[in-house]
Amino acid sequence: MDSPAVASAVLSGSPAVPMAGELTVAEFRQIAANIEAEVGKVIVGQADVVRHVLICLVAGGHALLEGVPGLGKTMLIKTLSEALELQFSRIQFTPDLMPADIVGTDILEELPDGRRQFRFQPGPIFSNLVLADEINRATPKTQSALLEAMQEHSVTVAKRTYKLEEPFFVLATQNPIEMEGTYPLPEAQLDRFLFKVNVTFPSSSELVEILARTTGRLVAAAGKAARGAQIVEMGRLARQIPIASHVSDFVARLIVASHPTHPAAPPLVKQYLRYGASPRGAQALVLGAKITALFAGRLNVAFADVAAVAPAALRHRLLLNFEGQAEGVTTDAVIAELLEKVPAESQ
Amino acid sequence: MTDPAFREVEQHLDAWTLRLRLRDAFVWSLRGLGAGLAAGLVLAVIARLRPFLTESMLIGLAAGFGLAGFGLALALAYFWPRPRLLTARRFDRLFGLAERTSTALELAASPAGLAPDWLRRDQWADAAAASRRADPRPHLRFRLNLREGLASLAVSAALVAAIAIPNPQQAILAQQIAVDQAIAEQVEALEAIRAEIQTNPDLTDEQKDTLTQPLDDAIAQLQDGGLTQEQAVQILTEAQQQLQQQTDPDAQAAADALADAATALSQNPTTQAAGDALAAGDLDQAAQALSDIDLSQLSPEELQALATQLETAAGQLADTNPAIAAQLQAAADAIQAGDTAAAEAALEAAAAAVAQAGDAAQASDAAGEAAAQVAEAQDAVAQAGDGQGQGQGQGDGQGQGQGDGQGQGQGDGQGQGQGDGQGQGQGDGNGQGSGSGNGSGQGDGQGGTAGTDPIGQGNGAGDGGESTYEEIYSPTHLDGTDGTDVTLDGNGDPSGDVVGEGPTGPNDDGTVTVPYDQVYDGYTDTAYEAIDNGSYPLDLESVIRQYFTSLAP
Repeated sequence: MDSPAVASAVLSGSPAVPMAGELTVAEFRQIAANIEAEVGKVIVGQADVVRHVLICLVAGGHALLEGVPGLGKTMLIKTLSEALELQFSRIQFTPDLMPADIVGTDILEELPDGRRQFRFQPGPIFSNLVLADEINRATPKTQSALLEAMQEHSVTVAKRTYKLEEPFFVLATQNPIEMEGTYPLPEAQLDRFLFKVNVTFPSSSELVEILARTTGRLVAAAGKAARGAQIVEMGRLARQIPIASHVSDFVARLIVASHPTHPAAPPLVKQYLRYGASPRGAQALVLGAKITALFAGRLNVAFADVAAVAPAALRHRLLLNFEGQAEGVTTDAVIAELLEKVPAESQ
Repeated sequence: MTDPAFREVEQHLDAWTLRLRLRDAFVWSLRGLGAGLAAGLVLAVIARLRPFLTESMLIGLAAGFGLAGFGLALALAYFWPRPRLLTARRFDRLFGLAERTSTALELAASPAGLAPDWLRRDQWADAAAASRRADPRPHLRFRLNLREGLASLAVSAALVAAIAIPNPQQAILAQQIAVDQAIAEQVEALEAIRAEIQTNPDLTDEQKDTLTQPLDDAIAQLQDGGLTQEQAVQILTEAQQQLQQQTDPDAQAAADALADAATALSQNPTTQAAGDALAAGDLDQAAQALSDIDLSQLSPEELQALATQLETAAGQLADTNPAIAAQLQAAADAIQAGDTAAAEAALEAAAAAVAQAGDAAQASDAAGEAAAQVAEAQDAVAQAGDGQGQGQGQGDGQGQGQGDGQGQGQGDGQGQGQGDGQGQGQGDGNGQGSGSGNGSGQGDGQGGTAGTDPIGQGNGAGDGGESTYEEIYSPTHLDGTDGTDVTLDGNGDPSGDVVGEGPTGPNDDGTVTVPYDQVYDGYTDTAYEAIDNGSYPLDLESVIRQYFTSLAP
């Protein structure tokens, strides 16, 4: 060991244990396990989906769930809201939904003394956990009403900005097969989602369990497993997890290689991608990897953590070109190639 | 004080690094050995294609390359710089430590405050625990890769085969080395001859320069290096010829005549000292004695006797030493005429001529001696490399003769090998023998008859051979091979008609030649008849027969 490193290995005298209010790693894992257990009471299977959504919550990000109808996307988010002591609101996106229906509006009310005044009526966005169901059914104008809320955690109505209460999460769902009457989310909107989680069809055994739970006399319900403050604290702890320089370098090279014009881009990227991931994608990778490491009880980020969250963090950030779309190439396949071709350590 | 968990991580890293160094040293040293042997194999292959290295040098170099490759690779692999952080990353991957140790090192090297102390401690503890569980043995095995092992074995086997299988280039190389060595030795010998000439007190500086010039030229050419055996022999031959040209072919006759004259002079008391010196071969002393003769002290009878002796000596020297003879005769004449002054002058002149003859004789002797020594040097170089391989063959065989025409022969033959073992046999014979150098085979039988070319040359395994026979002088043809055959009546009458005149003069080589095989039978028959007539001692009979058998075309 080099002498500077040895010198640094002498601890600085900062607190040897987490300060009051700070979570320990064990507490983090316990809370996460409790949440997953409570959600698991209602949701059969979909462990990866639940884990990824939970990662988004801890990271303070938003998740976009995509899957065919009937897979329990809405149920999952509703259950999650039940497991967390958070204010929950659901917005069903429809073509005629207006921005004001989401963010709220000033309404004219008559005071007892006969005078009239405008009063801001907050929309459903003013909540800790917002379920934007079938988000791609609303018009782009309405979809964009979420942009400021998702990025700035604030809403501006009639030149007044209203701060949203923390924690604030948007969990959106969309249906990939019904294209008629839908409006695909613009790239800027997609980029604001930390993860895009694909909800897959359950296995037959899971389906049997789903039938048992949903068609019987008793309907399962999730209990409270965590408070909002704990979620915030979990996020704070996750951000302290160290990441080795060569792992950060790998993330950077992964993002750079996703751009088809870059020399390091793999053949699949060059052939089928129109545009690669943004720096937000790198942030999503690192944050997601840190939280994944914590879930594993580890206090450092490994390459495996990056690889575990790469599909969810990048699949909505890679834009296929016409050839890719025509040949049915998925961004997941491109991500798999990226993980395979980009070396873990720079040459 | 460093954190115990971090220290434990470092200890694990140190132990793993040591094992990694040892493992790499093991693996790479064997690879280095294989690479070295492969280099040796390349040398061995080259040595089979051209005279490049002797077998002992090849073995030494191959072993040296192998050991050097082994040692170099071992040292490089063991001492190769291995930065701690890079090694930790490698171990993380190798042992599945999920970047724990590399993160621990970076955390330790990071400035305080970047991460809370409790987090650092927990991370180091986690890294230490994971390191404790890691088992390096399955990942850092001291085991040679099977393919690499087989490749090394194949290279080793090929190298051994390349060295062990007889290499014809070795004989060529050995001969070349022997030739080079012989040239070097003969250069020393020439320098010794040169020194001997330079220190010869009987030679003048001019004579020394004349005699040493061919030697200097030969030494310079031989020291240039890169000479073939033939070139070296040629250089020495030229030197020998130049020295030989400086000898006086009549010196011996002149010396004999002087000895005869010495007998005559010794009989007179006045010239006895000169005669004795001549008899002893000391021409300088003889010259001095002649010049010391004082005629004024002699009586008329003694003068008459002296004149007679001088005249006799002059007569004996007339053919071989005309200058001395003339002066002696002049002295004799002057004495008889009573002119003692003229006689003394003539004796002085005779003494000078004797001294000059002495100088010439010494120079000739020195040149002859040097030429003989150079000839020995030439022989030594010419024979260098002979005996590097010898083979003998004997037996019946069948072969083909090839000259200007082609022929086939059957029977027993005899062959001689020369040089690199390739030779041309006369007659045909299957012999046994291999190697370079001189080989000879001998057998009984009748040689094959060549085609149009009268001399058949057969090549056969193990057969040696001789180069094409030179045609020899045939005195029966006066006008060449196509000239008119002349039959002399043989009546011994010297006044008979002159029927022809040969193209040669005294001591000239003739130009009329006949093929060897046309005269062989006649010579052989004559020799055998002489044997049958008892003209030769009985014990030489087999030698003579063997000699003529060996010459059979």
